[in-house]
Amino acid sequence: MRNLVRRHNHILLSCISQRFVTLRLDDSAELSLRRSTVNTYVSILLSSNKPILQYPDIFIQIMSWILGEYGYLADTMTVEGILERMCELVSKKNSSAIGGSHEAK
Amino acid sequence: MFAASFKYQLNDQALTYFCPFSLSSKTTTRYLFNAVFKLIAQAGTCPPKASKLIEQFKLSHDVELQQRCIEFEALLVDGGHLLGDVLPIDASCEDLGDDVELGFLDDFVQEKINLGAAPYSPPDEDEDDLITDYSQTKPSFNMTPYAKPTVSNTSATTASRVYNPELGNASSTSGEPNGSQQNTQFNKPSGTQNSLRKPVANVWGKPGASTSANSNGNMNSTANTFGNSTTSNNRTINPYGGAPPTVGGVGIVVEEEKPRELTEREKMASALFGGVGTSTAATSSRASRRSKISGAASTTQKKLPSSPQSAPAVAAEPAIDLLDMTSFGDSLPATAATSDNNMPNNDIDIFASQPDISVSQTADFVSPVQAAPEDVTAPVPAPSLDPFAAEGLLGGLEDKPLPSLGGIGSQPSSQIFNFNGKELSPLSMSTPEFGQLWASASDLRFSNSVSIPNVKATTLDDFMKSMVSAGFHLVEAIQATDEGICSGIVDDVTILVHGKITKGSGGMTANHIDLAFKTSDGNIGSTLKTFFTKSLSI
Repeated sequence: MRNLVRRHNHILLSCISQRFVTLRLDDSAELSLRRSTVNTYVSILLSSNKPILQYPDIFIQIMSWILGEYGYLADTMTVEGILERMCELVSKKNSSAIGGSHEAK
Repeated sequence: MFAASFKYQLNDQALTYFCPFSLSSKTTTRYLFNAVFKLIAQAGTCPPKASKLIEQFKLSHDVELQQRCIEFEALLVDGGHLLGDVLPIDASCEDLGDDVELGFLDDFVQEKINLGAAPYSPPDEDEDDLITDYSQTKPSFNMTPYAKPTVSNTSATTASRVYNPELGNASSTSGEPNGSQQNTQFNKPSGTQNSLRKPVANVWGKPGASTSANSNGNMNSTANTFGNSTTSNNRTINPYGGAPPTVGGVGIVVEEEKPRELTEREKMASALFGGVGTSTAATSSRASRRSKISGAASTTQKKLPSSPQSAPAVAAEPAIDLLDMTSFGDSLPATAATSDNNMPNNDIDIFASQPDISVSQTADFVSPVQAAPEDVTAPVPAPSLDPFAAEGLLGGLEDKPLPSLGGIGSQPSSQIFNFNGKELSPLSMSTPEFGQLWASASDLRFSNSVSIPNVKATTLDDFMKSMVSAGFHLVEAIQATDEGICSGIVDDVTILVHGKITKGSGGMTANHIDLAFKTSDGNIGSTLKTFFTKSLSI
């Protein structure tokens, strides 16, 4: 199961980052896809309905890679803002890991 | 709004469904830090929160993360201008091109050259050239077979011998001077004797070698006389004959072209028992043997007609080596001098393959045949060949093994080994012959060994005396290694014995003997073991 998740993770990252040959997307469509993805993850990152740490790690990993790679495409937030939220996320995750919630898994 | 909320909840449930468990927390932290590094590079500045995190995770237990934090901090401090190159925007998935020429190092190299460094000079020899040269100089596999060893002149001279049916003799193509002497050697009838010889032909003779079957008219008169020859005759004729066994009148008889090459096993055995029996060694020993045989033959010839009582004295000549496997041709002339003119008309030849009494008395290995009571007495077929027996000249002469052979005094007959009612007789042979026969798997196929503790013999001489008293012929005693070899024959069964004495420790324990013997009959092994154990034990 874990390998399956990793495989889906890799496919998702590939779809977002690389050109969709099968869909014959042009540069604008590809850029639009990336921007949409970044905005979605930014909204999730800024959402207060559900803390980000409650999401699975694989989700956090994908989000981290997308925001780190294409964070400059975000419409609702600057790069510095995303960086600040990411630092807070690391701090929270580190504290929760010290508390044993994640390390115990 | 509801639809959006439902969609969000659906996505959340789907994520939870597809990702029901948390993966490695360390890996997630690494992803987060990687994102932080990229965002710092994109932003161009490092906020205090990020610096604090980096400083904090420089001491992380995760070595990978610790290394990345240290590297990034060093990059920020020393190479801020390289951030864009190290962490490019939207270029993480780009494949790195292979810059074979390493052009990005040109500036660096030029800078070093300007500072006085020596320019790079490639090595003179390229690796490919080295490989090529090595392959060229590498010796190729030799497919040419080795040349056969050339036949020596000695063997060539004794290679061919042609039997002359008119003269009734065998003449050597190598120009042997004593053609008439060879006549006595080959002047033997065949008749049934060849068939009788066959069972033991390989025991004494060279494989494939036996006497000539043809005979002249004179021999025809004696053919019937020799018709009942015993197998012991073969033992006398084979070493000297060498002609292939042919029944009937075959005009030309060609011997083996060259002496049979010793096998590796035979060479080892010969080396063990006194040196490798090379043709050179054999040749060198032929002269002495020839003289001995001549002397012995002449002595026998002189004594035979005079009185049968003198026969045992002749038989005491142990120096006659009748089993020399390598002197087929050379020994012939020596014998002929004594037998061509002085022999009676019935051609009693001491070197013949026939069971004449003279042979049996001169050669100790023939004695087992005569040792049997039926062979000694006149009614036996063999004595009918004997002119002395036919004339009744033998009288009360008894043929018994000559215990005095081997240089050791006579022994009481009660200690002589018996098998099937027949006593063991010494079988005279030299050490190389012993070794060759020992190594010959076809002749002596049955090997036995026995270890006898607490033996009476304290020295090798005592042991060998015991063996001689048992009827064996002492072939050789090696004092240096306390080993001895002896040979005997009983009831046409050849026995070769090798014994080694192991001294007791400090006189506290008695000696023990390890005996190994080979026989041509497997039935005699257990009897010999019992005999050795009884006769040698304390």
